[in-house]
Amino acid sequence: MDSDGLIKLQKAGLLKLLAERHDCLIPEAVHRETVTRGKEELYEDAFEIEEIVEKSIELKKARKSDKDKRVLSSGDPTSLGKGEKQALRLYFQEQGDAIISDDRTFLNLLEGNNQKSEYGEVPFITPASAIVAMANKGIISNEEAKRGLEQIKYLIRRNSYRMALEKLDRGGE
Amino acid sequence: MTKKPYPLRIPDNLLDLAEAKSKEEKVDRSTALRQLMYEGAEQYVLELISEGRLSVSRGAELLDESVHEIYRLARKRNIEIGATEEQYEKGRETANDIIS
Repeated sequence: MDSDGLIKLQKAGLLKLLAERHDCLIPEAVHRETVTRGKEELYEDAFEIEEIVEKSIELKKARKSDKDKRVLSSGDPTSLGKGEKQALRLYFQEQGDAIISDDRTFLNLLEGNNQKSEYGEVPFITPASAIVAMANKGIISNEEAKRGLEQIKYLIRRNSYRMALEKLDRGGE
Repeated sequence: MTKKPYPLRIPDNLLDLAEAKSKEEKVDRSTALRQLMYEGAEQYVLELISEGRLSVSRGAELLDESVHEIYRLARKRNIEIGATEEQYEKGRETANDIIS
């Protein structure tokens, strides 16, 4: 997860549940961005994220590798911060299933890489799509999913929010 | 954050604006000018984030702010950030495969 995925899922009130059901990992830079810096500025989310990370999310040091260098070179690596770069490194290092992020720039870079498919695809999940999938699989109710989306509606694009609501109403079809 | 001197020609109208701001907010003119410059930088960074040209994390680094503050500023300025519809749709396919 990068900071974007972590913060939005926390704001939606579903980070704890997701982290309890899956092996979620964050790199040190994401912890610094969300917890350390957030706590310095007294953001309540930072304290809540810290508690969930301590119990259910693994904090790992991310090491550079040729794979992440190649993926980063498929776009403009200077457009990314330490958090996203380390999340990508951790994905390869721990052979993750997907990266959770809602960052348009980061996802643009992953999409660019995935289209070339030269170095293997890096699948991603956005927080809104995670919420809809959790509802579709009966992990949470539609009402809980709608409440979660409502909590992050000002942090995601209006069209993504509308689309997620439509998918919920149609049961994911 | 460290500060460095930089030679710059500033138009009279902007200096007048900085003067007015300095009187209004009881700060010196240089501080008022820096504040105006910083507000412009915030807007620019948020636009780049919205357009998918800069990540939230990188934007926070450049403004020396937290990522939490980036979200607050984007909301305050009514600037949409986050994944596009297409990215949401791709994310949904992956989420359906992985989330259990």
